[in-house]
Amino acid sequence: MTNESFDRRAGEGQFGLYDQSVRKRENAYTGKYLVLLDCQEEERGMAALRSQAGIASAEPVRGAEAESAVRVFGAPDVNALFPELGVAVVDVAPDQREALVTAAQQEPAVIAAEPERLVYISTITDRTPEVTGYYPTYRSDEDVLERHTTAAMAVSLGPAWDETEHTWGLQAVRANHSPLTGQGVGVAVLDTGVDTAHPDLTAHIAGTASFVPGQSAQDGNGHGTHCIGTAAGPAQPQHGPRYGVAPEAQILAGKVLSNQGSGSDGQILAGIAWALSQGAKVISMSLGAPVGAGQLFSPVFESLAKRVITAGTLIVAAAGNDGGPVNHPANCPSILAVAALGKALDVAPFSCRGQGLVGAEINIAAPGVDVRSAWPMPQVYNTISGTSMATPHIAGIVALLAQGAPEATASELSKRLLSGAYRLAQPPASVGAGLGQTP
Amino acid sequence: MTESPRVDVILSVDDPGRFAETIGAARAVGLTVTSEQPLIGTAAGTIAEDRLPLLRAVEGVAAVERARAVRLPPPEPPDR
Repeated sequence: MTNESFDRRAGEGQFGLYDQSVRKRENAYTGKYLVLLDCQEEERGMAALRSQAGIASAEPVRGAEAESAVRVFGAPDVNALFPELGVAVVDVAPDQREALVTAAQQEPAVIAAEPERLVYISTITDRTPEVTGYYPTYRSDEDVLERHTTAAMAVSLGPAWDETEHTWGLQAVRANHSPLTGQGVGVAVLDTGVDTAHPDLTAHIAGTASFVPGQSAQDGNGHGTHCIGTAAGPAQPQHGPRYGVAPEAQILAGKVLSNQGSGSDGQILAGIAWALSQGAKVISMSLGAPVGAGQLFSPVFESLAKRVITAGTLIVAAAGNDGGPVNHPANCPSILAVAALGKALDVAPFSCRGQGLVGAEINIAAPGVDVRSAWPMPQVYNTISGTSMATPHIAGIVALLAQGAPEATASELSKRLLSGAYRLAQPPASVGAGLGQTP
Repeated sequence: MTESPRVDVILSVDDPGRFAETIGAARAVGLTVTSEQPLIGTAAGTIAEDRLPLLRAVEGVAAVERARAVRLPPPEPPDR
């Protein structure tokens, strides 16, 4: 063959680099069956197939006998037996298939039987083989189907969580395996304040301040206490599983949202400045305001966030719960936006998504559905959902990172946080770098 | 002529090292400061809406925005 003729044929699409002349079909079979026999009992196995399923006799084909193999394959009504392999290739009429399967199941000398497939060269365009349909075959195929089904179900359900000792959130971020505790690291939570009388939290509250006119830092809502518990709840709470990521961190509770759960930009500015003055290494803000599609981030918040980072402190903020664009102020480039995950490690449907604008991306994700944490007395504990609940998980992780690397700058902590995240199958627009992990 | 309504604003300054001077100039164009954060170079306050362009033009003021109401309730009510 000349190059000219080869090129011409390739150009016509008859031959291509990946054998484009062959139209491949999925799950295509020849009509014959491959039968795997016990090598010590080949004749007994074939005899069972003959007597119980009416399968014709097989002619032995040795490995060195290529011509013989071609002759047997080409002859009608002649089956082939490969004694060295313990395999027979047999013709099976459609009405014989069930009998063959039954015989194969009942006869110990027959190990397996399956339909002979049409096979093709493997190209880079091949899809991963999947079991997509039913074919009357030996039971081993049913096992394959069952395994695929079980695996698919397992993927959809996600990991199994036993929350006896630790909440599922702590397990997901691997806080239960970290030797670090956040000891001495300041974690500021700007929210609805804190229940200063909470038995799990009092020992680690290093400071409180209220920026809500007429209201003390005492949490009259619950949201703040819950977030603080997730970031820095104790290693051994009074009741139930551990729920705090950094159990020995120093809690700085800034009240910037009223007991009704609302506040203003000015109150947040005041809270951030206070947290910085108190030496917080991370500022956790489970709050936000929705933004319209295409709306740019706040230059004021971006400016202060850069200054806070320069001062050595990282700000993390909730992405938002309206399912739309990332909320203010999490949409600032210098503030890390946190998405919420469910127990299957899938993004929560309410969690806001990145919109392709500068800053308005999701940076990282954390557990935010059915999160158990502290609640003001007398209730003591509560289980709620939101990107609010995901954010303090990340704040706690940052505290552990800071304890482990006391000299790290805020930018370095951010890089360590993002590079250490567990990659998820969901798109970065929904989960950013993935699920935050403790060091 | 009716008086322009007052609006809540937040602002940031170019140089926190010149914070007091910049905020003083902002007061001079009508800003009533409700809180200031020299450490991070921000302030909050109120001003007549028609004076916003003047405030934005103050030397040293980097950005002026209308203050937002902020909240983030959980998507499900707490089971109290």
